[in-house]
Amino acid sequence: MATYVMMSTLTDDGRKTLKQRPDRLGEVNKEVEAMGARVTAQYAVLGGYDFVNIIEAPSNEAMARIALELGSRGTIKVTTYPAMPIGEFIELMQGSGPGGS
Amino acid sequence: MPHYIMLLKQRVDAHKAIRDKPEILREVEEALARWEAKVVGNWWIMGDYDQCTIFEASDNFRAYRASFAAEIGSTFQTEIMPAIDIPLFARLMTREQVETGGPHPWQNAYWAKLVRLSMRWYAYDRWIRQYFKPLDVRGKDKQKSIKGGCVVIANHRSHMDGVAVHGALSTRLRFSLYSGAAADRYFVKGRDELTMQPWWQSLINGTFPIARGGGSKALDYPKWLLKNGGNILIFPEGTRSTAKGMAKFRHGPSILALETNATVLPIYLNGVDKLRPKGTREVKPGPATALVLDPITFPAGTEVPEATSAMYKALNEVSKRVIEEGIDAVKEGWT
Repeated sequence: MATYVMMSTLTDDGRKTLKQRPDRLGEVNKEVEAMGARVTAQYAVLGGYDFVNIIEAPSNEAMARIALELGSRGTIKVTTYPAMPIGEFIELMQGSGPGGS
Repeated sequence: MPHYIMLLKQRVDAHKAIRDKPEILREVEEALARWEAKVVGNWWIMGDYDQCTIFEASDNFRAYRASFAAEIGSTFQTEIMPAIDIPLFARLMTREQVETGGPHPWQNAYWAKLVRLSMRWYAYDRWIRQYFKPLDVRGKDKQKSIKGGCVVIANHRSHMDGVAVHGALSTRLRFSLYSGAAADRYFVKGRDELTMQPWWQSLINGTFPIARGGGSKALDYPKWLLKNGGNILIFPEGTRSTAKGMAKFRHGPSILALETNATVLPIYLNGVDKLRPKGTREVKPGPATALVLDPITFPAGTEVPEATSAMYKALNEVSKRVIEEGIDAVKEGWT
């Protein structure tokens, strides 16, 4: 499974929905899991975004589908970044392959 | 402990340094640890940012101060966002619809204390018997010198800490012992379970409601209890800590002790977090130790930061010795 950092911002419709139905937050996780991915951490944040999610998904394609599904409802705008644990990135940088120096 | 999301973007002149020596990316974690922040997740990401770090810190100031560490500032531009875990966020969203009960001043009446005494086994002691194998209490005699109201303080790493403190205290102090509990979790009206009724919490558990974000008003009721013969158990770190050592202390216990002229009784707990670590629901039986330290009294005119510092010093000195030498090394003369 690959890791992705998904940051999302609520739209006006999203704020109304969340106010009326805060339980939607938990339902979204179930929907993500139904698409073959797993939310490993999830926070509401103060700042440039409203939520930060760490998601494990099988591939870029699966993650793109999830992002599209979630965004298509008009309640959130999502930005998704591929991620890797910092230890793995350091090993990659130290390696002698194309990723190394 | 509050969480923070830090998004980091490499400075242009740092690209070469990271390529030549990628280990410097670890320095972010080390720099955060120096400021008592604990990294819970750290990823390299592709896109507008280069790194995403999730860490715990005791408050916004500490979080921002940690992000200003030289190793971070010289390599990255940072953006920090205070984070709220989703279950709490969902509770806060519904807060206005939640009606809470308490506090119940009758909990300090003699009849209520007798009821609590008769239910002590159910509320606390059976858990000590079931999970603490054993609870080794050292220095229990130090409580004998305490006259009048008492503020009991302890380090906090587990939901079982309150139970351990009950096991460490003398019958006299326990008879009038009260502690705060989150109003929106333990004092919500209309729940079905008997043990989750606000009156049950006040009568059987000896707790009183603390509203999140209630500020200094949250101290009014415990102050009243102390002035009326009660003793208060409070964890000065404010929440269960996951830091290696002691987290920063809040000023609440000092304000209570100074304004009511109460004695402070510090208790250092060791091993309780192994029974039920933060973030888990399962409790595993195991040994734990409670070191009762010398009671602290403050002379008239002591300032709040000075009192907080004295409390921190008392517990932190023992904490450092336990971390460095182990709990058995402080069998004798821990104060």
